[in-house]
Amino acid sequence: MNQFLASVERRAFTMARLAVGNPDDALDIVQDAMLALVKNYRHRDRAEWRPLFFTILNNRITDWHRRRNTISRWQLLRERLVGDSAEDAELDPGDLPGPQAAAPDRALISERTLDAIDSAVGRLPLRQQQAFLLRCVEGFDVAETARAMSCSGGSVKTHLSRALATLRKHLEDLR
Amino acid sequence: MKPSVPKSDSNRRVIDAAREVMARRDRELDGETLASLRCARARALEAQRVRAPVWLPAGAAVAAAVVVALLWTRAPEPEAELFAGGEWLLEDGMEIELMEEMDFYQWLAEEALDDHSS
Repeated sequence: MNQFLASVERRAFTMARLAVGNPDDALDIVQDAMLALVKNYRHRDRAEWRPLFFTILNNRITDWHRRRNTISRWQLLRERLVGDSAEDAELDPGDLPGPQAAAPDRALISERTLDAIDSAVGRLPLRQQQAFLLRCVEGFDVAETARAMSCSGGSVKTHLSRALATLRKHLEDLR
Repeated sequence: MKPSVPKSDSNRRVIDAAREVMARRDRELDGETLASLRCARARALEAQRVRAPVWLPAGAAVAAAVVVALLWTRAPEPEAELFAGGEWLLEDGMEIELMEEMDFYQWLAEEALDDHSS
């Protein structure tokens, strides 16, 4: 189990960080996912751990967004009632690295592409981001992705199609 | 005019770039984050080690039930001693306050007897 967790912890953190936008919450989510896997599924076959772990991780990320949305709605309501907009900056989810001041060198074009994709993936709607990362980056099949996202295979395909269209558009804009 | 790129090629570029982006993010995690992840992993594994065997709570519950049953059957019932011979009070539906003031009524009766005898 130790080896397995060590093999996925960086990727889990990277995904969570991308999804929630701050490292502290991402770390909490990863730790929760690790604890849940150890507590509930350590006796399961080792081959099942990876899909189970990413399912738990994505559920935690989705829960985080639900809680965040609830809090945001209350904050919005409070601001409307009290007229306080001082915390607007905290509500902005765009905690992503800004565009780098790269020299217009051909050798850096691919770096520009990477930065563009990095930024674009971070800005995808959550479900599209989850579908894209699980299916295209982690290599889960449609059924595994659907289980991890608690939705149908058709929904996975829809989210993935939209994510790819958005990301393709970002790459085309770079050309 | 931009040359059109087949969608499958575009998707391939997007996916390759995204895989590289994620690998880069993984590689570039700072030492503090990596240490925190190691701690998180250690805590998760520690929870596995300290977790009591499944049979232990059940065994403890059975043992506790046996002890309670023994005490229940052997120990005298305080209420039974307190009201020994006075079940009629309860049977007659008298108020609890009345029973609590039995000492007072007993004293009152004794006083009345003393007055009568004197």
